[in-house]
Amino acid sequence: MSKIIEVSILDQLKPFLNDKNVIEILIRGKNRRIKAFQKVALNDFSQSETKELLEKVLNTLNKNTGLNEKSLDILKSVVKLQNVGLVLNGLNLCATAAAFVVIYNELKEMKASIMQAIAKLEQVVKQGNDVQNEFEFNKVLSEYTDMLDRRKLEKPYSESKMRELVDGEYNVLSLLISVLQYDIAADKGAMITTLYSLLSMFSVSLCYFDEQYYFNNREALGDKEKWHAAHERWMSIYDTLSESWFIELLQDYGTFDSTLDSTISVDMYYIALMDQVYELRQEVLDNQDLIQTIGDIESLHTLRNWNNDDIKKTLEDALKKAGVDDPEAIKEYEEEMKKQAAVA
Amino acid sequence: MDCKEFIHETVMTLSDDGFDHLKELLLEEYLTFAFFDDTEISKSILAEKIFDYFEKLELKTGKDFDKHLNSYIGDLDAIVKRCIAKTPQTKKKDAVSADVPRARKYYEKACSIKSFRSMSVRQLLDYTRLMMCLYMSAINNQHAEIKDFNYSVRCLNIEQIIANLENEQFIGIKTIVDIKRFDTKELYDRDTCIFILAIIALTKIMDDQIQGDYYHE
Repeated sequence: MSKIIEVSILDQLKPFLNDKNVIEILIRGKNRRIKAFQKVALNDFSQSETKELLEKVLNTLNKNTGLNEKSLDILKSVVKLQNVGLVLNGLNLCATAAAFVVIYNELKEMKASIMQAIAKLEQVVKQGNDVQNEFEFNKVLSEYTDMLDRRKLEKPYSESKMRELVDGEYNVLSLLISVLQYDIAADKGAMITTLYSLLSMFSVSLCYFDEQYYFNNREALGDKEKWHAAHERWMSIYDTLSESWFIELLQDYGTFDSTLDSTISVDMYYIALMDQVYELRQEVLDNQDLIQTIGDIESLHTLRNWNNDDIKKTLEDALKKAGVDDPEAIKEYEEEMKKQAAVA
Repeated sequence: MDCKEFIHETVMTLSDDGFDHLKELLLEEYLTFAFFDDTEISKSILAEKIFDYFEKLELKTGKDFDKHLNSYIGDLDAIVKRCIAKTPQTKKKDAVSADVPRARKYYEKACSIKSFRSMSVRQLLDYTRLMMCLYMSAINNQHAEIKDFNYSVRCLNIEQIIANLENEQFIGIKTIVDIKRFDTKELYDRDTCIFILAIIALTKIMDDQIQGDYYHE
């Protein structure tokens, strides 16, 4: 089963039906790991009209979501995108309000030491340069939570509010990077954790902003610049965090300040963090690709919501299939998987 | 640690690629088999051979495995020490303390591992990793003093390290002819043992290298 089969009519999918007349599609997440199973039922049909048949498949796939006919073509091109799994992943802990609570609480606890360090930075650095003197660390945290809540209630932030949020997050990130660069932080570990949490938040916000900006301004911009003028500046954060001085900083922290006890642990630590920077950057870029391919904000949201709702169901089914019997174990495992998939 | 523990945690835990590399490095120069073909030599067979080597070495030199290990640790320190930039002296009136060069910080970290009375294999490998990365950076800097260095395992090149060790000279002794630090003509000898220990440790360190899913150095 290694050849890729091209399907142009539904009849060709029939051989893949199992004994319950259902096709099981494997969805892969990051690192090609299996993330979920999607079951597809084919209604019995006798017509050979392609469009009608595909409509039926679509209706089965999207029972409650009301995707309309025009999204057929969109979905056809989406499934060809290899990296669609990366963007539709639920594994980013910052993407939903429920999961973000975990990080928010951690960040709240570190607030005092962060504020102290930033205040000290302002004394140490006499000239502004790249260091922003205005920051609102608290504001960024609470606004981000608010933004996620509003998305859940389907009353999302406006484009300009999102831009302010992205800018705010960018500014705080720049400050934290400067704090580390000037070696001011009393608690470097807390600073690094905060930085990476904020980087996740920033990446998610940027994805949502890109979406709004593109759909709001696409006609006005036409074939010219598709993204906001500040986008390149925002993306430069990822480049800064990949520079050799920052990598050395992580190595030094791991070796001298942390409780890591061997060179192998230090390697795992800093390489995992470098991987995360790369992954987050890639998510933003992949999201831009997806936005342009789908080209329709309703379909994009439907696709995302569909994925989240169905993941809950397919997680439960996957557990049952794996033959996990003990109800306590099932509950614990479900909670853990849901947390990792970050479903609200 | 004893010899068996060292061999068990290094040679016996190598991946197939790592083991092939070790065979290539050891069998050419140091160890030979009278009856086995290269392809027939498994991890256990090579491990036995190395274990026998250390036993014979003890009989011939009168020094046990621990003493040879100490020679390895000490000689590595003496060689690397010379290449590390010193911390600049500050005058008493200066309020700010001098910046310790990064290379020196890691050199001192390696020395702190050395000070453990009985090192574990993991500690020996950590010590080797730090010293060899410092040495590698010095090699790339034409043996001039280094203030910073490349911490990553990827910078290590075993063949280059061995070639440079072979050319190390004794410093401070004025003679007409250059005297090399290591004399590896004899197989069952302190100096050759140091090379064999270095090769085994380095192969293990490179075999254990952590690779990022996306990040590649």
